[in-house]
Amino acid sequence: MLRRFIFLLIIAWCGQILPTLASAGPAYDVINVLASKSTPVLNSRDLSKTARAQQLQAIMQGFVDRDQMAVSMMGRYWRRADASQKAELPILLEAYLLDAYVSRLDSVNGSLSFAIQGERTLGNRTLVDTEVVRPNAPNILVAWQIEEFEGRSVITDIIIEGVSLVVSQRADFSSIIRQQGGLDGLITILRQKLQSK
Amino acid sequence: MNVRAIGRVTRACFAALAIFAVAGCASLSQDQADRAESIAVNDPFEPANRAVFALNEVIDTILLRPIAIAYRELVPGPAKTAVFNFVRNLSLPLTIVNDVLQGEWDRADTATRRFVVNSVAGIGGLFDIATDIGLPHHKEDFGQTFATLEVVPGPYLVLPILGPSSTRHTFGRVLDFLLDPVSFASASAPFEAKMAVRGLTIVDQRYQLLGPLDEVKRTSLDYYAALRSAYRQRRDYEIRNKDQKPTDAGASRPPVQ
Repeated sequence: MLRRFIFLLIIAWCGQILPTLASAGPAYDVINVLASKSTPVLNSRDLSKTARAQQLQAIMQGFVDRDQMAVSMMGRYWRRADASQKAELPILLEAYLLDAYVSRLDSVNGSLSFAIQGERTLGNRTLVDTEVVRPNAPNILVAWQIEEFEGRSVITDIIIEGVSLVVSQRADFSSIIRQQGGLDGLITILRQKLQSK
Repeated sequence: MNVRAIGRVTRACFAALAIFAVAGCASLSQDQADRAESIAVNDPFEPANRAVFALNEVIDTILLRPIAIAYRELVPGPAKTAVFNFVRNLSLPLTIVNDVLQGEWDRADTATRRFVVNSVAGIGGLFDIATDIGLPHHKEDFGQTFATLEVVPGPYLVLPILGPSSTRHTFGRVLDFLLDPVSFASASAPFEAKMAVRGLTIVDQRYQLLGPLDEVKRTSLDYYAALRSAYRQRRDYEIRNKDQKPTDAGASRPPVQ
């Protein structure tokens, strides 16, 4: 989720943020603040790619709860995890998911725009609907799911044209856990992936 | 093939599916949570599906993807847009039929006006004039119509070349092929022209999927499982007429410790 999340930040930066919402709520503010904080970092030509990655990670930690993200992505397997697995998995997942976005930093051109269309509250969740406008290609609808968690608003999922990043990652990780016979198998694969970089 | 023969083939297909489904259920884990997950995944033919998936990957790697990349690199942007518009326009008659079958009169009206505007003013659909005048594109098929009639999707299937599907979607595809008004209208068209249009459609669709599929492959540990999940979510989204829904991710999950 994290690298796709940051990829969308890059998209937001590469284009212009086009607020089209008449009345802005707290969830809208989250997306707006996220874009305004990440833009200078993504836009900087003085920082190395690694430095930009580190700064983005720091910004992102203000909008995503790493532990909660791991709980969501592990689904029912989280309840089976022991204390050491619960301590290691969020760190491994963050590192694994962060890894790919660095290679994306220079690959997105500046021809995209990102428009906030509105927000909807459904139960305890708020969806901020946005649209990524691409030249010579259909627009992409992206919904940012925001929830109150321990007194702050955090992004808990990103839904791109109906495809949830958390649900997709959970399906992927669950398959590996089933194939490997447990969480240790997933942890081993994640470690190997990170070591091979 | 006469009606009786079609009936025999259909019954044989259902019988084969039932045997596979029973075999799949028999192999379910005794663990209640594992069992619940297997039922939710609904992929009782997973070994066979993975084999077809691997075959499709080979075909894609050596044929379809290279063609799509060559198309991306060699064909100018406006020409690719014209092909995209043309292919989308040809899908509208089938969409109109299914809008009517679903009782979606407003959407049928939009699709009809869109088809007329783009076919005439858009020179056979090469230009998308309709979107600019407030007639957005949407797509419906028989699989989606079955879904609105509350036909269950059935087990996940990977079809040769066509890729991810479900039993409902597969039967819908058969009807899409047999009952597409464009096929009837073009029955007397030269074979070469029909093949050219079909070829353009395949190339355009693979080109449109270059980015999304590369992204899923790059960001997944098990490409098959990730694609299965993405297909299901995307299909549900199309059936809901592109209504983005919240997920169960987030603060409602159990605490970390």
